[in-house]
Amino acid sequence: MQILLLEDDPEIGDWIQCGLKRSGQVVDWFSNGREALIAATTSDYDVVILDRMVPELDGLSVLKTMRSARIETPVLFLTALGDVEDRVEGLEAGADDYLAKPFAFSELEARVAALGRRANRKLTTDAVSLSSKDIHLDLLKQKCTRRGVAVDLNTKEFRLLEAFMRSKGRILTRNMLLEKVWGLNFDPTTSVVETHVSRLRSKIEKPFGDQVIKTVRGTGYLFEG
Amino acid sequence: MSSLRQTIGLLVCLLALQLLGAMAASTIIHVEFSNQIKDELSKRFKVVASEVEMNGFRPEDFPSYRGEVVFFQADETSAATAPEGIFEVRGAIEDDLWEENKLFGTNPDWDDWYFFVGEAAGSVLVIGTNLAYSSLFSGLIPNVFIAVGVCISVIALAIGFAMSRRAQNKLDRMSTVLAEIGRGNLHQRVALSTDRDDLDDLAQDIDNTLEHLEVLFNQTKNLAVNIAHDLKTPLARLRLRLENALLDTDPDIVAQNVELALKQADHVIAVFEAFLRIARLETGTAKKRFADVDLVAVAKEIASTFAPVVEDAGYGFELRINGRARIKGDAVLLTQMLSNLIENAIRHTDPGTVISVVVDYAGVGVADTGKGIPDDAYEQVVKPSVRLDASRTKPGAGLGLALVKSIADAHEATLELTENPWSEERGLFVFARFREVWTT
Repeated sequence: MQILLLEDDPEIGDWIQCGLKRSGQVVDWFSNGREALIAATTSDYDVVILDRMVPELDGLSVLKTMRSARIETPVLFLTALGDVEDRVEGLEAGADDYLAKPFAFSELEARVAALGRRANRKLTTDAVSLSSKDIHLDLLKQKCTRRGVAVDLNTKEFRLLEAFMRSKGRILTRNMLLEKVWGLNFDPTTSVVETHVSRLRSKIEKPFGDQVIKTVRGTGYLFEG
Repeated sequence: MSSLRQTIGLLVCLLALQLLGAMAASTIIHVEFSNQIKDELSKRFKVVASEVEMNGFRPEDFPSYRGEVVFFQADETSAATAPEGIFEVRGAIEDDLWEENKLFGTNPDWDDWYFFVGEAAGSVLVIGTNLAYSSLFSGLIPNVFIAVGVCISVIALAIGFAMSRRAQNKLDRMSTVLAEIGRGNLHQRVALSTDRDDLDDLAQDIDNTLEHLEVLFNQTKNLAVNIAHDLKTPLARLRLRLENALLDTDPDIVAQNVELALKQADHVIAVFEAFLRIARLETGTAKKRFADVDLVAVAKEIASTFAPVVEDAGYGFELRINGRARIKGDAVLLTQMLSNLIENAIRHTDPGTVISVVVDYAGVGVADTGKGIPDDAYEQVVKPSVRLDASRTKPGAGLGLALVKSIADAHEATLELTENPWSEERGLFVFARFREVWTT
């Protein structure tokens, strides 16, 4: 993937660039908003990562200008810790996702992968059903079957499985699941995600004797269907 | 000494007014007296003239009495040329005049006269009346006024001084206390008497403000100390892990140490996150995103999310819907509030405890069947970073309930801490009672 990174802190910028390059991405790193905006409007990127506070033109203005120029490249907005207003402002200005600093690299990596345009193109957001190998989800009737056998899932488990199936082959972090499934932008210290994933596994894996949801240590989960 | 200055200023004004009054009164009295004297002089002239007409002028008919002289000039030429009417003569009448005209029984030292000159029996009749009495009287008026004014001034000054001393003492007390506060002695209070005058009210207001300030100041101080404490431990562990990782050569142990270091770093971030959220909430910007929220829906959502978590941890879970209410608020913040309360219940009670999410027509809350907390701790636990286990052995940043309180405050809800009313155990019930609810 071609990724544009706007980050003025040399240490964090270098850390993100090196990390993303290691996982096979091409990263153009800019440390000032004006140059990043020129690059974003003249080159074709798959994902744009914008930091809020940068010299010359701040991340929010870059994002707004991009959107008003009808550049619909997915944007990941980096915000300050605990700054709810920043996040809301970012999303309202057209960001597709946000991440509060400081963050774990695996979190950034997973979110960038989820935003990746090529991956997103395969997604049919208005689908009425999802199928993956032997698991079938009827989104209208909220019914799940595996190998033709009905699996009784409650609302949360159903939405969890749906989130996994929509992100097949890509890592979903705990925070991403909290946002997608529960709509929570805070991290409850109790093991909400772990508990619900474990219950889902006991229904979707145990009776069928195999594993479809892989735990990625220290990061999150991977649905392999 | 501003109040004494005011008293003196007022007194000077009063004295000036009194002086003006005295002058006016003296003038009016003088004019009135003159008119009256002139009237009486005219009447007297008529009486004397008619007697002279009848009996001729006999001095013994007009025995002198204080203040009146009568003399008669039996001379027709004079009578023809003499002016008629009332004349005012200032100063003493010259001695020779008295001699020549055989004036009698009069004291020539009496000054200021009115003379009525007129014709009687073909000659000139003159009657004079002395003005000394009236002058004396109208001269007395200003003196009386001045004497009264001086008396009033002295008394008023004394009272004013006493009163200003009282006021000044109060003001001095206030400025002393405020100076002390400025030096950091926040426990000082003005504490005036209970006369309930304006200054006492002001002092009471100052005391209330100081009380509030001291509480806030101590909270901030405690918060800073507690946060420093809460951060010191994970930071020390973080440093230890990194040092271990640096010293070890076994890649497995290095990885393990780094992973533990990350966990400590995450803990530090979580403390900051909670702290920042509280700070943000207290600025009141959350209100901008408030929308219609069904508390029952929030409670059900919480139940579906947390029931498995609570049950897996070995606790009981129940949802009590005792009423239905809608409010203006932020569903995510309310979810965080309830999840914090549930987490607190798990953290501070033993497995086997039943945790209930309660919603009724007035608000929403969480109850547990644990040991509860002492009555006097109800107020205290909602302060930031207050943990009842002073040893701090159990995990938790101590910001959980403070965040709950901030969220309740942002929603203009009051946080009520009581015993669990549905349990035989003492338990704890934390309830957010909203100021404005719609029950339809």
